[in-house]
Amino acid sequence: MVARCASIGCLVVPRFPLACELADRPELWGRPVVVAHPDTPVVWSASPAAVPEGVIEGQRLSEAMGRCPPLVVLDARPARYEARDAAILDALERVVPGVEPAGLGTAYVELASVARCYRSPAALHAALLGCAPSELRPRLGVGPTKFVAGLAAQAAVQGQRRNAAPNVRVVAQAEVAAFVTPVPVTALPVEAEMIRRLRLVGITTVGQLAAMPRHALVAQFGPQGKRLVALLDGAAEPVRPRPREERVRERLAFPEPLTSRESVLAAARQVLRRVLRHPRQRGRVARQLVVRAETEQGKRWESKVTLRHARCDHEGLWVTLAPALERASLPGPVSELSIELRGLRPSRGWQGELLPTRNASTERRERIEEGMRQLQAHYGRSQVGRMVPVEPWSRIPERRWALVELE
Amino acid sequence: MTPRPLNAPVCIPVQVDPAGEPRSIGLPGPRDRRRPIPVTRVAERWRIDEGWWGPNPLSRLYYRLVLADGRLVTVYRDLDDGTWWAQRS
Repeated sequence: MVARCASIGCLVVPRFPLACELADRPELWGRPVVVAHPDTPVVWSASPAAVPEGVIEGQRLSEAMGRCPPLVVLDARPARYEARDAAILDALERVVPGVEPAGLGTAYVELASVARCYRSPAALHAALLGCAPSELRPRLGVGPTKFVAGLAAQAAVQGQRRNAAPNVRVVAQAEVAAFVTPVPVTALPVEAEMIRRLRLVGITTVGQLAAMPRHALVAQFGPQGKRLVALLDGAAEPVRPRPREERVRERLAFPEPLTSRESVLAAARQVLRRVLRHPRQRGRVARQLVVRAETEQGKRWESKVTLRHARCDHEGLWVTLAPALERASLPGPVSELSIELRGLRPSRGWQGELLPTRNASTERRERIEEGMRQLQAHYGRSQVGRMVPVEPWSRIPERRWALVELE
Repeated sequence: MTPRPLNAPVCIPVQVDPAGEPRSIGLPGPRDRRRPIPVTRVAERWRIDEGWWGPNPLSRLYYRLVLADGRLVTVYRDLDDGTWWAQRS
């Protein structure tokens, strides 16, 4: 039934950054709250209680605080939002095969292929809604196209069908015209400038826009107008699933944030060793490395390093990675560091020495490694550490050296 | 293994004189050896104040002490809460 009338779903968490913050601080529900943009001092996401006071997204923070003195301003934590968004996408992919991310907190899903796997459309909708934590208050819109599904998701709370879940809105093909006509043009997925120009000429609803001659829209707005015409004519844009790429990631969290570059480098070496030991990475080489550093405030620094040759040896990867870390301008003391290997593929063999020379130091090293393996097998974790300088110049003795796992 | 700092301080019991200087200290170790050891003299004294601009300020008064048994040890008093700690420096 879903396949016949409405085959695309849109899962939306409105005002995603704010929803994430309110999920962590439920005492702020109902109060005027904004999340500040991580890069510029403007409002990124505003709560419904702040909007009647004149606070809007994109407004300068100083102006917003002037308009609404009891406004609570929260620092953005993009790393946390991205992690939550990724978790939602992963959960959706376990329910439906085709999931297209469309910005933080929004994803389109292709329902036709899985509709028969569920008892009823309502069961499918419940499974999709269950992919996002309930405290984020997700909404689901279902429609024949992505455009309609997106609008339906935004309207999920205002108007519901009988017997439908309160945060699900299903728009069947026959209802599209009646549903879309009163929708304000601000809900259109186009640039803000286009919406501003439409309102300047008195076009405020999609119904008014649909009555316009198509050639006039194209002449006025160019390629954007052409896309708008396609949306109004019900052109079906397919759901484009995100590419599936196998990745391996390891991270290290620090109870005491790292302040010096030397300590960040030492920690990165440790994370690199861990990720290269990951079971899914064994016997394979990586084409790309992504290193991320997060601060306590949730700010994030990221660098992507593409390798000339796919490889998996520690020293070779470190030679490529270290310069990126050395010249990085980190946003603050680092509380978490992670390294991700991408573009994994089986190793085609690495031509080394045909007859490796064995000397005393090699044998000694092998004996030490064997002893370490036995210790690890006995105690379940490595018992041998290596001292690494962290801040050797520090006046605080416990900050000078650290003990890390010995390879 | 999570990286862990070396030379982490260990909390110790210290008896002080009326001026607040250490008079005897109980060094960390097995319980039967934890009897207080008198301090012969204070060889050196220095103060460290760090991170006062941030959320985790640190204020310590370090002493290098000569003990009655001839040992040279480094201890410090945490000026925030008054606790005493032994530490290799």
